[in-house]
Amino acid sequence: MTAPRLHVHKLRAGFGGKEVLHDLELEIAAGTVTAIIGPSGCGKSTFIRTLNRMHELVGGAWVKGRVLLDEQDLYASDVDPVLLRRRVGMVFQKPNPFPSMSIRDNVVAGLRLTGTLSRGQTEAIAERALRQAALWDEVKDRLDDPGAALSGGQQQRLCIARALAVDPQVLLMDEPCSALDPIATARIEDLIHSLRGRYTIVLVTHSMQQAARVSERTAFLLRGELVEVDDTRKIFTKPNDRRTEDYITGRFG
Amino acid sequence: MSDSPRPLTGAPPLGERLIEAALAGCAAISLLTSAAIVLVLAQETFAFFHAVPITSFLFDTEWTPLFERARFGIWPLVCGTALTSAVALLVAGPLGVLAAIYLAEFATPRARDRLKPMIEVLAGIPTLVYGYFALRVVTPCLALVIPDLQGFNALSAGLVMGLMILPTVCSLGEDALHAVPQTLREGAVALGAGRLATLFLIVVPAARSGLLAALTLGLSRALGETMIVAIAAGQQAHLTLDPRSPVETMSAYIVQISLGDAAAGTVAYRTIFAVGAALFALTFATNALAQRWIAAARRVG
Amino acid sequence: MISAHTDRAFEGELRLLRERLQRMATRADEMLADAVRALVQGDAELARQTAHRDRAVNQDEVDIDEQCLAMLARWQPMASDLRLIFAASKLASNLEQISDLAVNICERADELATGGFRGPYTFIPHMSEVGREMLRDAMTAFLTANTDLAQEVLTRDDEIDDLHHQVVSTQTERIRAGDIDVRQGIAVQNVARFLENVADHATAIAEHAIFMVHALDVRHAGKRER
Repeated sequence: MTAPRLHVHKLRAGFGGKEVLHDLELEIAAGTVTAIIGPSGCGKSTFIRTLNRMHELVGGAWVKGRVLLDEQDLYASDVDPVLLRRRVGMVFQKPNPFPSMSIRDNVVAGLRLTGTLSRGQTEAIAERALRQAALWDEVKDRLDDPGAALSGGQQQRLCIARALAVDPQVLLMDEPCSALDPIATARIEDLIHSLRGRYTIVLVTHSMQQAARVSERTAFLLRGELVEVDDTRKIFTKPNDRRTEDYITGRFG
Repeated sequence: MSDSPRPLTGAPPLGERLIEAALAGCAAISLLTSAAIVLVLAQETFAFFHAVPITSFLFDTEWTPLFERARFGIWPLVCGTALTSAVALLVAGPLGVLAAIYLAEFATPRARDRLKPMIEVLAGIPTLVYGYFALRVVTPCLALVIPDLQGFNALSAGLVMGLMILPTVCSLGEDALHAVPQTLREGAVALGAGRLATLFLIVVPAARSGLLAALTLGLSRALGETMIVAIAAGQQAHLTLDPRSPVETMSAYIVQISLGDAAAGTVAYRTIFAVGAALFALTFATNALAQRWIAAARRVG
Repeated sequence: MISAHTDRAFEGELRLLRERLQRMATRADEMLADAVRALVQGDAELARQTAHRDRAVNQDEVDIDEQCLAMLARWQPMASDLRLIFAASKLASNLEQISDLAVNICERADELATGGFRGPYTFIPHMSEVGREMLRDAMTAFLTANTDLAQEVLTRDDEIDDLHHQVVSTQTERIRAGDIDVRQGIAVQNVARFLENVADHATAIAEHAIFMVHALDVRHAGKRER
């Protein structure tokens, strides 16, 4: 077996004196979609933000333990979080296209922000990323329109295109459909299916149905503890742990 | 639960109607006041233009209403106003925006809580004090560097006026930057953007309309400011864009006349209404223009 | 025992589903009892009346399937709830087929009674008892998530098979000895086969019970592994 793309080892994290994540242990294989489910406040978002070191941007945040990306510890002292985030992209709960930019500029914003956009590449990169995000056909005639003029679902796909444009290995998605209607959600889920294999996707979701639909592996977090991680089919038909069963069948506290 | 139908019609209670009437009355007072001002201004202005042709008001280049050979060209006053306001904006614009960026993006919450009141103290200083500060401190200091600076000049009045509007620009600018959603910053950071790239390529452009609004408000305060320019800029209406020379602004001229340099009812006295109307038109135009920029910035945003 | 669902409407639906299954099973079981009684007592009238009760059971199956479908659509249940509903639909089908078998027995009973056949029905009442007991135990196992009881039902399948063979050989012997008419002998053998099929359905229900609890499909496993 090859080494996992992401290996979370004895990970603890928190804010100030409060520990939010307790001793997480998780391996994520390259090219898979892993869903993180759990009740509000269980630490899902904190967890996903430790994977691209966004967690530490909040005052008082701390992390212990290790997160290995291709066997390299993200929290080693010589790792530059800015460089790391170009390999581990992220999509947020609410679509956040940059309001002052056109659709095209939004897509290449990552390259421009990092000063790695070479002249004359803009069009090609924008088209490739928009095609990957299944948005090209809808916006190809209006690339100069502001990104904020798109519908919510399109904005979210624009944000995915923006993340893909910097060519990451891992894509973190923090409840990417929570602000979208069912059709827009279905488009994003279809997109996740098409990105599988090429990217390693970690998806935090409130919707168990969504986790069941798009992921191969599902991890259940409860009060900062990783209760169970298993094949998604197994988790949703016959979970091992009683707490998982209670949560996914709606018998929770 | 009772199933009897509750009425869907009926007049609102008396108390509610009284409160509504009282609130409408309050709103009416300010409306009526504004209307009265505009009316008086219009009336006196018409009376003025009855005596002085509007062409000479708009096309003459000299403003000497108190001379025997009175000339009524408004441009020297407009120039004085524009010059001092431009100097003020050149000071308060960059300083205010940079200070706002520091407060919003770099200062710790504790530092911000201490610095912001200190900056806002500047707004509480009487403009009279600013005026004498410009005349007695800033002008002598500037004279050491700029040899041919005159005792009354647009430069030092403008500089000090800049200081005066700095808190407005800074405070509103900080609010604008603060209002940029955290999600945009996170979006940029998640793409691997550094702090400065995030700030200048994402946050500042996103706050564009708010920053423009801050500058506009500062500018309107500068356009209408009276005491500083009346004290430190001199009261000589010259058609000049040289900041080292004395100028007279529209507001300073109005003060000068109202303090009794002209007898009531004379043409010279009526000039203040014409100048007032012109000042009103100028601020109105500035605001309207700025509103359009802001709206445009917001449409993009 | 499983704790209550947070959504009480869903909990109510689950309870209703269980009640419907229980009611349907009771109906099928009583039909079976009356069919065999009509047979043994040679009561053609009872046989005809019993056969008509098939309709109520058919309606039960339709109701249960509709409810299962609606619950899947409305709540998108997961894990044990999903397995329960999935199994409930299959159970309804098993129970409906048991009632069909009871109807078949009624038809034979009518035929034999009208033909003046008066037994003996060696082993048939006993087979019926064992089959019905298996059915009741399988239902209890399903509704109380009792896998031990379900396993026990599976072992009794052999007993029914033995009884079936004995009925067949006894009747064959009688036909050969000229004690009874060939057609009547075959009719009795058919009844034994129907009862054997009833036991097969009871076994299937027990297997569903095990699946529901353990998510373990034991249907096509070798008997020794059970």
